[in-house]
Amino acid sequence: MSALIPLVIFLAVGLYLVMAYNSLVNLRNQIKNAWAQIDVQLKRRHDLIPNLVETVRGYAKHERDVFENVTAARSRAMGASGVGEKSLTENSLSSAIGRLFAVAENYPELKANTNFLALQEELSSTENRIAFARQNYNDQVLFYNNKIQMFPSNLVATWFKFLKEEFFEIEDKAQREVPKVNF
Amino acid sequence: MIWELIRSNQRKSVALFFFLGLLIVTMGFVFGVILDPRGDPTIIIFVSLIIWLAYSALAYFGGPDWLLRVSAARQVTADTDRRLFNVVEEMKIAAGLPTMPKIYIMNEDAMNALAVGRNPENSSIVVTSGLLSRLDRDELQGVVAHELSHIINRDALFMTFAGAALGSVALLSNLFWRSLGFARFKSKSSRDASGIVVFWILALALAAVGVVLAQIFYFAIARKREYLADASAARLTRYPQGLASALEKIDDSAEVLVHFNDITAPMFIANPVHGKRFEYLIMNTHPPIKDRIKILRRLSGASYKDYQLAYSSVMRKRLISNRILNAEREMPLRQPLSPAPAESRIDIKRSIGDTLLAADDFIFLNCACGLKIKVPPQLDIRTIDCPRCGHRFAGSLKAT
Repeated sequence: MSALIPLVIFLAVGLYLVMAYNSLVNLRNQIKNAWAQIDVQLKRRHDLIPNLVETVRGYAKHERDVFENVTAARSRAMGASGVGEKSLTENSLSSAIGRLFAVAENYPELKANTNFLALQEELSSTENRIAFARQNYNDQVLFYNNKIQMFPSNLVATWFKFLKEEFFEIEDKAQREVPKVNF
Repeated sequence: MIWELIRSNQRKSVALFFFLGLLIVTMGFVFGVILDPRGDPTIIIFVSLIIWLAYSALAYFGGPDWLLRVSAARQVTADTDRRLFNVVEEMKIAAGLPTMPKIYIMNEDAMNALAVGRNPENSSIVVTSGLLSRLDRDELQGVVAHELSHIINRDALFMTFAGAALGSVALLSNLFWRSLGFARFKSKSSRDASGIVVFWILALALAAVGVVLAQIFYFAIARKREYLADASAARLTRYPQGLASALEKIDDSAEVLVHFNDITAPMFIANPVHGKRFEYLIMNTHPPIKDRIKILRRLSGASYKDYQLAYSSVMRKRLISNRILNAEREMPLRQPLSPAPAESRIDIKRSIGDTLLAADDFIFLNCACGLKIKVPPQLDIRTIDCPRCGHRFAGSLKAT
């Protein structure tokens, strides 16, 4: 009878290990999935930009530096790899697109162009999709990171080398800085 | 996490269905004894359970299609209203759902919406064209998030089964009333009349009270789930002001929904049955819309914790259990979306209406005076006169 007790404890611990390991794997896969969703939307944005630049160029030929800014930011973003670098380059692409739309405000004929309106809807929706995909990704990462740091699942995490995942940061530092005003 | 909420919802649904099952078995037993005092009541119990089962199966497999038919809703593609499609996809991404819900439009001026479907993989979101034409992007997002939350929280599934159970309870008591004449004839010849009288009273009480009690229970849960869907919508969008202002517009609108009935009414985001005097009664399927708005306006964060805080400050009671709240983390609210391209929503409403008519094989004639004549397909005539300038269209009436 007394030999049964260690056996039961052994089985219970073994069962816990299996369950904890599986749930960690599951969470890590969900993070991968959420990241893939962000990637899809980023790609969608990259695809929309050449079209947008061409449409705006037809009405506002003189804003060359704005176009060049967007195109350069786009190729930087497309070449980036890893979560940290991507969040940086994509955020500067976001602000470049924002400046392009701000310039477009000065051209009433452009604003009435249906092609431009459709592109604007698609791009602003893509911005939202990226934001919501990022929100979902960061929620998953936080849940996972908490799990691998908390007892007792942290034991399983260190044993099987489950590493902390990186957040997709909300904005780059340049946007947070207070603009300098010269008098 | 949201899964905690779904699980706690499931526990409450199980409690309701246990109560309803018990009610159905008791009704079957009492009716069985009344109808044939010397016979075996198990047969009637069995028949009652079969009715319940058949009703539930019918509702589960045929429910979604039936609902969409009753609502006269029409499925639309991504191109019909690009903004609606984009907003639904944005919310699908925010919720991390694997598949895109189908989108339906009801061509009605009233502002309303509902969600249909047993799980996120097989779901549809229905909005009226009146809603589409009067909400801005943030407001539409709030409504879509609310409907998507109903699907994620399995509310649409719950409503289906609860409707089936309530339907069978109603059918059983209806059958009982109809068979009363037959029973009285029999009980005269029986000797143990006093025992039968007790059963009679019990049966009458069950038939009347059972239905009412089941409905009160059901409506209480339905009202609570409406609040929970608001809480989940705030959590998905991180911008509760959008839904709050959409609800205000819905509350202010005077148009009345045409395509709904008693069973579909509880599923809409706002009660399609007008009559605000009864807003606080126990038999109402919807919580008072003013209270919902007040709670959403008071949110200082997007988590369930914040919603519970605002809810208890307005309603003075608990909505979400502590176990769920403890698993929540801080969720700051976000800024409103950058204003979408300025566009005339009236034009969009007209173009949605035209798309729906084209699907019905309407023929469009563009007159030289600028009027667009919409000819129904059943109209069997050779010529048609423009009502504005009198120009006569003749020959084959083909779309131009």
